[in-house]
Amino acid sequence: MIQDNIDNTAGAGIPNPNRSIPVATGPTVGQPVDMVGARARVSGRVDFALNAVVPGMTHARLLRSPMPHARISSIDTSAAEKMPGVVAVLTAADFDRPGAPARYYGAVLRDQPVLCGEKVRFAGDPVAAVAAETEEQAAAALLEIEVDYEPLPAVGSVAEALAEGAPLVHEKPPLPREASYADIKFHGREGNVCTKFQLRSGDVEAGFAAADHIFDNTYHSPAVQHLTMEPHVVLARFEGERLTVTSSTQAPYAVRDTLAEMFGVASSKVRVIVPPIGGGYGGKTYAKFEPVTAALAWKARRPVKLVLPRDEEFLSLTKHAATIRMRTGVSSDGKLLARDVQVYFDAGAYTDISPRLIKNGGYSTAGPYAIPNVRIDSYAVYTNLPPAGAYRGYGVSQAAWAYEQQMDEMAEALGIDPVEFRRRNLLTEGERFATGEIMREAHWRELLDRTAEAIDYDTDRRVVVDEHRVRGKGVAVILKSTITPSTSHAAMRLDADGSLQVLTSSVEMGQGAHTVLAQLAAQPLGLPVSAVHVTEPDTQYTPYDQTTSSSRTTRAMGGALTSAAHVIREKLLKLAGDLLEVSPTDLELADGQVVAKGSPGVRMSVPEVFRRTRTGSISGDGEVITSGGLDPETGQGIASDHWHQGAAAAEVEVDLGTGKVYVRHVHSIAHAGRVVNPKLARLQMHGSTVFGISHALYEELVYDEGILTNPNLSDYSITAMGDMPAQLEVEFLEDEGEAEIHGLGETTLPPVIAAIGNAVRAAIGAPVRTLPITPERVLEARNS
Amino acid sequence: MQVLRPQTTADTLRLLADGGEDTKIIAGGTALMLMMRNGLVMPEQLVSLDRLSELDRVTVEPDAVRLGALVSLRSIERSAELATVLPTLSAAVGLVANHRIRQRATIGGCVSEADYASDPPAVLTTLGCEVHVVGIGTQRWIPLSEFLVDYYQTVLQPGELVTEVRIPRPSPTARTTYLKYISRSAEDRPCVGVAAHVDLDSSGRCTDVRVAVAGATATPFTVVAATEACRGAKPDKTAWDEVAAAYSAAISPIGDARGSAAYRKHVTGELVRRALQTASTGTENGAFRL
Repeated sequence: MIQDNIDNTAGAGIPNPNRSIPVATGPTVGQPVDMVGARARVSGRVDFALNAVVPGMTHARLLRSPMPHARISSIDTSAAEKMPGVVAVLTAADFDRPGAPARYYGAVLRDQPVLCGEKVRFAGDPVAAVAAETEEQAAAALLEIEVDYEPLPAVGSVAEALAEGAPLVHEKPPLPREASYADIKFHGREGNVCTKFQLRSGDVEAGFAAADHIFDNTYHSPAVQHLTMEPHVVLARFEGERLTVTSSTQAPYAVRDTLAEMFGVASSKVRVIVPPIGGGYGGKTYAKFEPVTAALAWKARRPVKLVLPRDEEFLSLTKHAATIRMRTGVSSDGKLLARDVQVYFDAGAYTDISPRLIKNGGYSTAGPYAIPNVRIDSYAVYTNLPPAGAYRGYGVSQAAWAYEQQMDEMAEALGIDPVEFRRRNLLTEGERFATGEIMREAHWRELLDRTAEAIDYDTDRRVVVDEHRVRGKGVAVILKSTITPSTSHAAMRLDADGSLQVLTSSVEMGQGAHTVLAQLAAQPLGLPVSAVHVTEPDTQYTPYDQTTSSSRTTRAMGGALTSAAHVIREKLLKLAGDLLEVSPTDLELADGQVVAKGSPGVRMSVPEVFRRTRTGSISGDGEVITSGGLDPETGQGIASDHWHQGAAAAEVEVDLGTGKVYVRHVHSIAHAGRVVNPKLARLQMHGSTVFGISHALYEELVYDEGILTNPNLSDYSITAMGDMPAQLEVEFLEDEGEAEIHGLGETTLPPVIAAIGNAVRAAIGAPVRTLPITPERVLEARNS
Repeated sequence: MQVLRPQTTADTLRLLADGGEDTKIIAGGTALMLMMRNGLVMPEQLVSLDRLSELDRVTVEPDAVRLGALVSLRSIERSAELATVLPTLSAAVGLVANHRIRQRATIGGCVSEADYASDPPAVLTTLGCEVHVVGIGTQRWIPLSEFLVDYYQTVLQPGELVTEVRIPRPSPTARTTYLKYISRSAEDRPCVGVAAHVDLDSSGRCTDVRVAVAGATATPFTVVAATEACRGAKPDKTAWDEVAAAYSAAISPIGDARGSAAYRKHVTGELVRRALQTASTGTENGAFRL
């Protein structure tokens, strides 16, 4: 069933039509299998795109604007073209001519120039690209390109961008791409507003009128960078009009489609191959540096490889900075009655995936709570800063930072225990969320109770340790959606030797996707994981998958693979049943054997079934296509095919003399439904915890007049081993028996940030509403 | 770019003299490589000291310790002898960056770089360290406090080389401490570091108090008048509060990503007090990360 744009503001709620195939723990599912290729990853023998070499390959470097906003009056590349080793110099002038590629691209709005022509929109915007025999020669040639800029007034923040008479980042709103995504709608596009999401549920004014207390607070999260260990890498080569791109992307099909549109060719003329990648976290979703590398290969008439240097990684994409004003009305007995939120996400200079992110981040500000009256206006605002886009947590970190901090502030003002206050308002089974959809598999209360218990929240919530130090405890609970609607296809082939070839376009980026997918594919066929080979994504051969993002792969691609495996299983059992003269329904598969249920003596090996039926291979396809979508005026409908549910608790120690926060204990928990691989699932949650600590306390991109001041790992601070809490625990909440799989790649990142914030507030008796919680901000909050 | 690898100090000095302005000395490379990467220096020629084994020597004399310029921070940190003779320096060095950096970084490079956000110079300042500077036909010993001039600036002249540092043995009754305060994540440079040295006479009164602040000013910051004033005082909270207040009042710290100037001024007072308290009441000499 495909059902877009459900408009239902009626009180009954909208049932969610999406279900995934329930999976039971068995010989492979639920087992702590080692990650396939783990040893090669650790010892540096994985064939990353970074290692790719093809004959005749040249090396690319990009020339970037030093100014945040400027008109380009001239570009002179003549000296650079004569530099040793230079093969091609590419500028805006090479585009948009007969036979040439189009210059603008974008996943949603085609507003990002491959190379800037008329003007630059952020300090770091590419204006020229050089291909040379060596990277050093390409770098040397960049210095010989002369660009004349006429500086323009720039907007360095959302506040500046929305001010009366603010300079415009885009003079006229760029046009939406025809083949965008079904869940994305546009609203209020004027001035520097890229787009807006709005949600209207109930009667907010009436809700506030009925409230005994109204809380009105503003919370801020900064832009941060993904810092994948592997940078963006692209190798592009043409054979005639066929373009082959090897890329460290999370979204091979999105890249394929962008390149096909850019070069005006059928999508079958573009082939995107994705080797295992070294971390994504959202920073490698949709086309990023494939367009410029492909255009350079087109001009150079040679293969071109681009490896982004670390300082340029900082200019590639960021988590959205966000300012959230949240007004919440509460009854004196602690029931949330109304919430009115204005969310301002800083989109940076280009749209990227902001329209979806501000939607998901927007409705998430309602939190996992039953609030009868909600009004949310969530804006993506253009500024003259590097573009913001997908980042692990996808807008929920910013939303939860606001609503979970405010929950604690309200609880204290009302004199209600923060856990009890949440319990009175958390969504329960069958209740309506702010989007009108009915929540199922609702486990928030249990998650909250378990995480609170894990840190013994009820006792010693604030402890004075000595003359300098105090301790505090905090909790947080969140909900997170996944891309809806979305589509995943898979194909697989069982061969005569009993091995299984899995064709999937889901990307292995260190999260263990290919291991988990192998476990899911193996189980219905009674195979060991070692009999399964999962292919690298290659758009020429592997079926369509929307993206490897949004914590969707294990559930969506896993579901597609499970279906495909059942198709093969049925075919195989039918063949075997004919041979054994047993009904296929009375047969089962185990250890590479077809066995009659209840008569273990009646059996035949899989290779023998193949041989005796003269079968060469057995193929099967599977798909998961989810449905949903929100009404553009009211935000009502199905936001997510299922909901990620998480909670975290933290205990911190604060030095009142310096203001520094030391994290002592973090516990986090996610509803997992069924865990496919407990070892890898735990590592995913550890990763979320580390990210959460880093965002809570350390990370921030600092701009001065639009120029990034900390584009290196000395000036930009991230969590190190020495910052890990003495106690770091993760836990899953699993369902009994056969259960649906819930993604958990991101679920506990947002609540870790908010739990640390609440623990700090408990320790110092005042909220720090701006991230990161630096020692200086702690002292300011305490002294205010 | 050319890399030259002389085997003696004399050859090194000759190469430096011949090379001129575009020649840089490289030892561990932990500072120079970052500067080159960020385009701050673009030398045409590097004189590598990696073959100058004569400079990779630790000598413990009756009244002083001499560290050759090429002695790595890691070997200072791991030397059992230095842990006995100079426990606070040894421990403070162990708090620099991470062990991969300390494996490469040298003591000569550490003082020659004159990085304000560095831990060892403050400790060395309180210990009365001197730097040996040689040129062709010249050599001089300079107190570290005079050797360091400004942000990333020393008195080194073109063609000169630091060959060793000399650290007088502290008084056997001296109590020493270094507090490294990091305002961001664990492997960061200090926001503010405080090295304290407290010596008492047999009646328990202060005879020699020294305090140097790292990370907040161009060079290790001292207020000699404030520490001199402690002479004869009891090593108690009253005395330390006064020193702390004097340091906090006198310092004009830098503001950067690790903290604003106003914040550092506050933290300086806080840490000077704690460092002196730790030195005078703690049971062990050493360095501590906060």
